[in-house]
Amino acid sequence: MRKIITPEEAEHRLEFIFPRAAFDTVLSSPLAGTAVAALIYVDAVCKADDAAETARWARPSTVVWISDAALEHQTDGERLSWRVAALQNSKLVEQLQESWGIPFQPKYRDNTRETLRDETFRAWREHHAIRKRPGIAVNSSKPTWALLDDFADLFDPDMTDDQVREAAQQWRDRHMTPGTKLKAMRAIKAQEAKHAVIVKLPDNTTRTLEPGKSSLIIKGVIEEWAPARMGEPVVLAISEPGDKVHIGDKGTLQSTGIKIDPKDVLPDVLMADVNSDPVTFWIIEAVASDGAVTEGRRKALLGWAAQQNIKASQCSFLSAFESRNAAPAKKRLKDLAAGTWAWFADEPGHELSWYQMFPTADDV
Amino acid sequence: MPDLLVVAALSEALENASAARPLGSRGSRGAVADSDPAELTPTATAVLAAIPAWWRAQATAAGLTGSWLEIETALQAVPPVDVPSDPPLGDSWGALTPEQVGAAYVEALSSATRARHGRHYTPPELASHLWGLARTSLGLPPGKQVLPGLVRDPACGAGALLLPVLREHLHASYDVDPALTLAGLPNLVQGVDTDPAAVWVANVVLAAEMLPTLARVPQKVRRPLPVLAQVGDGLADSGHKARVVVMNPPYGRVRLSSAERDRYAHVLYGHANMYSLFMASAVASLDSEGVLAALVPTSFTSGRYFSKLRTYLGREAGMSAVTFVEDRSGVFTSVLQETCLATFERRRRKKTRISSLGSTQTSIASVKTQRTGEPWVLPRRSDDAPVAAAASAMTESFASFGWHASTGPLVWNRRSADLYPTWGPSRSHVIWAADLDGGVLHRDPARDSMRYMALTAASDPKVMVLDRPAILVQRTTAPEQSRRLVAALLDNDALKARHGRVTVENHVNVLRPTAADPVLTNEAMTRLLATKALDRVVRCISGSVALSAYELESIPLPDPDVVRKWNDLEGGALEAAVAAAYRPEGM
Repeated sequence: MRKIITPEEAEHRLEFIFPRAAFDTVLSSPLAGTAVAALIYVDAVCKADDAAETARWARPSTVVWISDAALEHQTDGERLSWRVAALQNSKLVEQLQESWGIPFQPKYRDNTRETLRDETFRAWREHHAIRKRPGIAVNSSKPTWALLDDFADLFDPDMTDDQVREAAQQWRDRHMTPGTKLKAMRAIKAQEAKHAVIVKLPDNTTRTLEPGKSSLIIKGVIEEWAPARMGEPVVLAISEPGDKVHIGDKGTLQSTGIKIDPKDVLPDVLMADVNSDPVTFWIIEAVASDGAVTEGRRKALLGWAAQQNIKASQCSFLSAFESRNAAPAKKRLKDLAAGTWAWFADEPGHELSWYQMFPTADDV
Repeated sequence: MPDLLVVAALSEALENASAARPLGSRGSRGAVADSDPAELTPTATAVLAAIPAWWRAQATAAGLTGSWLEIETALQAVPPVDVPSDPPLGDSWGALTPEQVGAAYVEALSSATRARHGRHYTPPELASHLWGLARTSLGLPPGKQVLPGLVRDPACGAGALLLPVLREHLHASYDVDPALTLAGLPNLVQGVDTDPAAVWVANVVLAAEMLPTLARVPQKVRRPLPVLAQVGDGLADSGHKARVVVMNPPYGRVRLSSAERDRYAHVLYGHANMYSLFMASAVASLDSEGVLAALVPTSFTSGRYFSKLRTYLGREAGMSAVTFVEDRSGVFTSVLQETCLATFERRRRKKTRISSLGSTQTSIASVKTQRTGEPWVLPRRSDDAPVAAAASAMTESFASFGWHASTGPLVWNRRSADLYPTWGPSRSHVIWAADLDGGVLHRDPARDSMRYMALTAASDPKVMVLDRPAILVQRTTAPEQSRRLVAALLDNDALKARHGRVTVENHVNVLRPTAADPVLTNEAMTRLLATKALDRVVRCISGSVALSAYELESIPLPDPDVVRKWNDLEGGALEAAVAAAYRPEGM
């Protein structure tokens, strides 16, 4: 394992690497210094091309839970047991630290991890200081972060300030030139592609979605449910976890008078059956964890549809689940909105319909 | 015009619209509303003639019927040409986006018209990015927001920059009474342009965005859609302060009347460039919290002619963010000049966020906002960021230490008759840029056929001849060269070997000390110009491969006692000392 560095010293070095006069302070804040110290403590350091399975990864919570007292326990055995505990939950960390005779007093509040993930790690990643494990769904709680080894090299406690300054300059020269960035970006893309979910659209084009259950459900909906259900299905928009939105053919949208702004696509998938008259729009939610079409959700989606110039009378709703046996399906069945459908990826030939036998005035 | 012809003309215009479009231009600032019908090409007329059909398709898709399908009743704007009452096009043209319609019109103008008036269509990606920058400066939260005040485009053309603005506002106003929303638009979105036809196209595409909102207004109270763009002079004071000005103003030198020169005296130095006039009057038209977001050439950040503009911007509205558009990614093939998207804020900000936009947006650095008339030091790459931060804090420069730079006087193709391969007593040795390659003055054999110039004109001995030691610096380098700064020393020995005098061509800058006791010897200055650190500083000043004499003079230097020490250093020791000088404090 690498030698441990204190959060203060790590912060001091970060200022050499990302001087505050030139870079955003999130790159070299005290929290960032703690992150370097914590990641090195648990040995979450890997090479850019290490296989994801063998590399060791950490969570933002690892950083939040570390304390100066814990950092003083420096034997490999102690670091290892702290890591194992931190990968489980804070209770175990607390127990471990109690056995060491120190209280569990994290330096930062639990919600600090969002700052870490959305600001510091994100900015570090742009500069190739940190690596994110590829092939993990965005909403997964698995550990996915590791410092890149040549960045971690800059935090060897035995280096003098001058040596760090020199090494920081070399590191910047290597990692911040546009050419190197481009190369790194391509490598990351290639890695992501290995894990991605590829969906074949009705028009025979393909879309690459982030890995994850929700993408697999979307794939099932588009490739299996839609052709069975619709005369001529057209995909108008797919919105993935992680802010990515695929918008269908611009010309089709324009001629149907729909104005979809990629910045505020609400449903997971929006499709249209252009073979029906008038055109039917299908608003589809892929439910991997939560988000089925409930009464409240239906109302929100209808409001959104109206803003896109889609009339309520032309909208149909589908909640798509992995399986009837999947937890979110069991949990949300009681909440499905009336007049909507449900579909389960492991039984593609079936569809569940929930409707009111005698419509009331409210439903019209 | 028969259907087929129109279709052919339109598709040609559309095809061209996606191909390369030069952004630059040159011309004189003409009178307002100078676009007479004669300037419209047949294709442009065809595009205009097709618009009623496009409108009909849009209105039908929005669920409207009756007179709302006729552009002339739906929108109270008079078309600049007679448009056919019976639109000749089929339904297929309904599929064009408003952006495509605007691009088709601009593309259909003759290239001479486009060049003379600096008319060019803004690619939609850049338009929405520019609005994104303005939103950030305004502090608008993510998600759709209603406009906080008037957004004006003083050179709106076919409305490209206003489309994302209007779109967001209409989305965010969904819960408001649609009739009120439409009635309020003229107070929130405003375009101005000199071309009546472009203004009409802008009004039509903007109105098309309002159709879904109009469809929600009860039939009885529907009024014609508001006209948001007007024919006029974008530089004129409209009387109303704007919260935001978005613009992609015309570029190019202009000749100004003496009244106008006076009006802009506070921002002009030498040649007037149209876009600098637009920047100055845009800033003047902002309210106290106003934001200017402009798509402009990068030349204003360093050029000599823009020094007064920089001072004015620094005082009135500092640059809070700049995004350099990278042409090498091939995403924006239309952008030929070095272009950037920049925001300027009336509210005082401390830092300028710098990023680049190619296939993705990358943040580069955030440095102290520059406010002086000196060239602004802005890193183009993140590895240059620390050096730029240090350099921008320095108050001394080559010029302040008494160094003077000038451009070589010989423009060879104007004097090709006087260039010879052999020496003669009335001839002078020519120094070509290629003779400096590698940092040591030599004689590039490829130039030997034009090695000597006959001093034929009476003024030649005075103007064309350099007979004193100097440092020669390449004025432009090739992108594939690893350094932007290539200098070589012309000392007494070198002069003697060249019969005591030389003539320097115009791709070379001549740098000479004018002070009696310069802080650096010529030799030391040449060594300094060869360091890596200084090369990085230069990259942050010009951003392009060219380095003008003015920019060379403006290279920031640390305090004189620091610089004086460099006289005795060479090689690695000098490199380390210079690198240490261009290092931000605390690092």
